[in-house]
Amino acid sequence: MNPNNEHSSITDATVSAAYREIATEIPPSRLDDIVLRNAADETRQTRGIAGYLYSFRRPLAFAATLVLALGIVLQFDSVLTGTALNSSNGISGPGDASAGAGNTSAVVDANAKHIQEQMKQSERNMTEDLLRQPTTDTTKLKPARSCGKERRASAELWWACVTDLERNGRHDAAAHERELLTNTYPDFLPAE
Amino acid sequence: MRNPADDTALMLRYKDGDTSAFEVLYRRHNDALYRYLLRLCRNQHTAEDLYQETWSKIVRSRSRYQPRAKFTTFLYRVAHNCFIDSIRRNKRHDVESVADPDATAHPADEQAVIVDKGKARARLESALLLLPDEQRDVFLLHEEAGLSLDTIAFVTGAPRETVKSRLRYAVRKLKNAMLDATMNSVEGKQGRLQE
Repeated sequence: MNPNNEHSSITDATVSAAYREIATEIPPSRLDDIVLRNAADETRQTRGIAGYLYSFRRPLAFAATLVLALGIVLQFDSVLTGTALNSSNGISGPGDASAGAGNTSAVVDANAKHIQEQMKQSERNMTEDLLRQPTTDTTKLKPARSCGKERRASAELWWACVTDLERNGRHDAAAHERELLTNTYPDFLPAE
Repeated sequence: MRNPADDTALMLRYKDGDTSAFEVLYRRHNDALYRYLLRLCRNQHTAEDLYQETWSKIVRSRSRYQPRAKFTTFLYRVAHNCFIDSIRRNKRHDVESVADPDATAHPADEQAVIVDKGKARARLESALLLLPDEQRDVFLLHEEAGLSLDTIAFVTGAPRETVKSRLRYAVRKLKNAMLDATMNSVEGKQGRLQE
């Protein structure tokens, strides 16, 4: 059935017209005032709290993302710092320390410097210990050769090498070479 | 005829904080909603309470408002639900609601009103007040809100055919009440003439 025909078959124009005549009531003005005041209050209230926050939702979301990302980076740094500290205690080699030093964090940088200092100090101590060893025992002490095979080809060349070492301030190496020269050529007398 | 999109646009403007848009919307619907609740409740104080409650719910729901249906549908659905809740809260409401208007005497406090109006219209109003709640609800939604059968079915939550049946019964009862009043009036005049 067509909706219009259906509608007209149910409703009655006389009844509708009669109802229109009796339906003349309007709400009291005090109710209008209450409703409209509530509507205005609701707008103000929402604008005051949630509405204000709602207008800042994008900056707030951006700030929250930044804070979260920073938190993750700091957490990651603290994990790396822990690794670097372990390496400074002798657990890992200098490669780990240099990895820690590669970070931008000041803590990690300071730790890497500390490790480098420790390594340099350790190297210095080792060198000093080696130099403090008695030099008479040539089988134990084998410092790097200062004069090569060519320069040891004759006593004169060897002596020239010792002189160069002395001139360059390598007194220990010069003394060592001189001793070897004396042992090898006991009758050699250097020219004045 | 009112453009329903205008109501939706006004509600969306109010959602964005435009109070003047709500006032326009309110002025459009306040009278019809008031009469709907007044006749549905048959009690002025209850009607006024429900009227405020309905608008209050509309106002509070503005931030969640989505234009899925016409604003009128939304408004009268809220009002209908407020009325149903009111019935549940107040069990005293269901007195005489199923009584036949022709078998029941007019309430004494309505006699004064009847004097001022034509007998047929007075009889119509009385018969309307004595309709069962469901029939009166459907009739008022049709007459005051101008809702279609489908929309009334959505608002009341009843099947469409049930709504159609209720509206037909309501209209028939009201028409009979008006005819009876006319017949009584004619018979009265004839009786006076014979005397």
